[in-house]
Amino acid sequence: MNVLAALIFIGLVLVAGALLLFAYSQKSADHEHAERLSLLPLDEDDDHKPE
Amino acid sequence: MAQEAVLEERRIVYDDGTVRQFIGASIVFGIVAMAVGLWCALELAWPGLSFGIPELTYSRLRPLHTNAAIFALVGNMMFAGIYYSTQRLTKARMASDLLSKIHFWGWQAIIVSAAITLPMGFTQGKEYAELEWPIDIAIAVVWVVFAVNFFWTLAKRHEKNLYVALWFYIATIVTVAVLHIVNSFDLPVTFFKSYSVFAGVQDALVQWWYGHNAVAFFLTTPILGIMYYFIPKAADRPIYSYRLSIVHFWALVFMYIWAGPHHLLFTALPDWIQTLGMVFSIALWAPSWGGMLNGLLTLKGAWNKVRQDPVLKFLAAGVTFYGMATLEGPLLSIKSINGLAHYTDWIIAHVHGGTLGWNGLMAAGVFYWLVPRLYRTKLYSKKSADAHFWMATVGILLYIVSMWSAGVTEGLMWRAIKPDGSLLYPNFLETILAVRPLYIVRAVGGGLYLSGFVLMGWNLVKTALAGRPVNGEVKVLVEERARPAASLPDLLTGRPVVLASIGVGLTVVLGLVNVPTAMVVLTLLFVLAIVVYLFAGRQDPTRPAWHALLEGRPLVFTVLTLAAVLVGGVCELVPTIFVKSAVAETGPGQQPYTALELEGRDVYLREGCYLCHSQMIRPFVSEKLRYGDPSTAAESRYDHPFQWGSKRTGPDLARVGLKYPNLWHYTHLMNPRSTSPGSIMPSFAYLAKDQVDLSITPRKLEAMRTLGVPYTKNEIANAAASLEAQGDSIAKDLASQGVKVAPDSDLVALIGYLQRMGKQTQPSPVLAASNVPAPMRAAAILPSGTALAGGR
Repeated sequence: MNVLAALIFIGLVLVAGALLLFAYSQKSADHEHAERLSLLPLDEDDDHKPE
Repeated sequence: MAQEAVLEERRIVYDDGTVRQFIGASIVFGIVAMAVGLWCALELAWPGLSFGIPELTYSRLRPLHTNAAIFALVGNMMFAGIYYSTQRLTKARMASDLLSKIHFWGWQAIIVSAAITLPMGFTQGKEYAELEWPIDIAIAVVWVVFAVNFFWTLAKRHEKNLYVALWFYIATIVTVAVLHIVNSFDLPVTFFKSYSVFAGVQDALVQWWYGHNAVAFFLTTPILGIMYYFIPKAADRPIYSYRLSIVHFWALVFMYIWAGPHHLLFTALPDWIQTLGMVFSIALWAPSWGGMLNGLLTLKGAWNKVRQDPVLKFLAAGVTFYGMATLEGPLLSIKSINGLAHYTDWIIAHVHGGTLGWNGLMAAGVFYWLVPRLYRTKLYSKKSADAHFWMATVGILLYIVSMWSAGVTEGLMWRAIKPDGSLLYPNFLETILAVRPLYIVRAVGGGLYLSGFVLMGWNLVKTALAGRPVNGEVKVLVEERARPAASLPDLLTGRPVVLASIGVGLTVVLGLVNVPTAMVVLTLLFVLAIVVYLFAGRQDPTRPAWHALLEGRPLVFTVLTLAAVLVGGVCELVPTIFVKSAVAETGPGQQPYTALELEGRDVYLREGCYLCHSQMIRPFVSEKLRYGDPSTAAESRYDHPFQWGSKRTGPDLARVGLKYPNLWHYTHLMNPRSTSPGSIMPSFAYLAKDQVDLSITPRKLEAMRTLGVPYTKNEIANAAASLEAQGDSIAKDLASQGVKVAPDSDLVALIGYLQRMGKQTQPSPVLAASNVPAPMRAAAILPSGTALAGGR
């Protein structure tokens, strides 16, 4: 079998699979914690700012 | 029964003293690393600058430059960033002040040891892993100290979930430990001499699995963690996409480890590993750019600040250079491009784009942000920081553009063939002469970058002197009630783990069946996945997401990270090392070196010849014309360590044996320009005065025998006598032409080794030419009656 056809087929399956997983992840809404955590680095020390 | 939550307010005082120490060490050693690099660059343009002093010879200084840049400049910067951000992200002081001190001073002691031993020629002869075994052990110990301190801090944290920066630190700590330990497996002969337990193909694969992932997990992942903390901090806005950071992290740590073999394309490494390395290297482009875009898009809406704030200027430019380097890397891994670029200065341009652009500019951005805060003052001179930015940027551009030009020139000249089928530039020196002006431009660019770095050092010292050292403090509310921990079965049976496991299993199964069956199975699985998607319900919104649970369990997180990292290493290393059929050995196999040749090989290692000369002829027409038949795996099966090299500042030496007479080698090593006008090789005249230590020669053969080289006990017992006899034959040959040199000198040993290269599958030719008595020849693995050679 032409290896190029196999590679294109596998490539398409991987891309389609990735899109499906992405949609599934969106549907599951499983990143509810992201918003709070992304703010974590912005916490300042109590008394530790440059003048 | 619901428990009452008891809140207690605690005051946390961070350990910022250690952060200040690491910053200071990074700047001081950074200046040293770059100054040595600049000196090396000048030596390549004016080779006389080594002044005949062994410790100043280019090939001894280059490992000092690379080790200092990686482990001293970036290492100390990385530790400063990790110590500062980890404490803030966990709301906890580092677990142990004592461990922090041991880590800091232990690491500096290692750097000083490297700075002393490398110029003295104590080296294992493996790039970026040159340090000898006692220092290797010290590195492992100090790294464990760091790991214990870090994970202990995670254990006593006051913030439940681990922020993305901490994931990258975890990946760094566990992976660097694995890489360092596996690549450092060696057999000590003396306190300063050891041999790698791996040889030839296996050693090459392990070395570049290590070498590439040292770039990945020492120069990249920790700096990405630092990026995820300091860019939001400096821009005063959250990271662009936390979700993207999850994909970025897992994809990057899984894929990076597979890419090492792209350093060995077209070599004697089995083709299947080369293909794996190339495919994963190209795939790496996606997660790398995911991270770069996540960093740059965090600046969305804050680009006006980038124009004014030197910190953001450095960070934005650093991330941009990361994007450039991670586009160029996959590009260079494509075989047809690699065929042109490998062994040339294009690779030097690539690594400096990463080190000076990504690591260096990120370090500057972080230091300019941190130092005023660590000394509670403002930056001494913003104008000076701006000047540093432009000096660094112009310096990098001069460096990279000149080396790109040199690399493409070299690649094209090496392969150019005339219509009659002969080489257009048969003399390697023609390439050297063509690129030498570019070496001078490179030195100017490097000098400019170094000047900017020194300016930063001055600016930060003035800043520190204007303030006073302070430690950050924060009040946290600690919930005394025990947190309901996420259950381990829940985590290990989470959808991502199950899906990833199915994916790995499926890949193995599909690899075992024929292609049409695999395509049918894949199609059916895809249809099944769509069905599952359509019918799967929304997750219970009151239940925490799987990754959120995982972020609360550092130990499980670490184990899963280690698993993701190890898959690639195991798939490539285990078959190559343990399955004989995985490495096809074609043609005659290598025969052991004589005692003199083995000592000569150690001189070759000590002087760092492998840094400029490869021993691996690729299967190209131009290389066959220039150097001879392509190298095979069998020809280096006893080479502990392998010496295939990665750069051709000089020509390949794989088949140099007997190409020139002994006298030519002697003259060339004493003064390279006397035989090769325009050569930039340093003089190795001092080798004529140094003598081989005959007392340890038998131990070296014994060590090789332990590692599987078939020396007999008789050969080991007579090693010193054999060496003297073979050395005497070369010395007499030289004496007959008016040159007097001691038969047991390093120079003679090196000539013995050079004359054997490419002839390893035959008994020693130099010895055959001699008048060595038959018993001595037998001791030196020489069948009597072998035809005359003698380097003619």
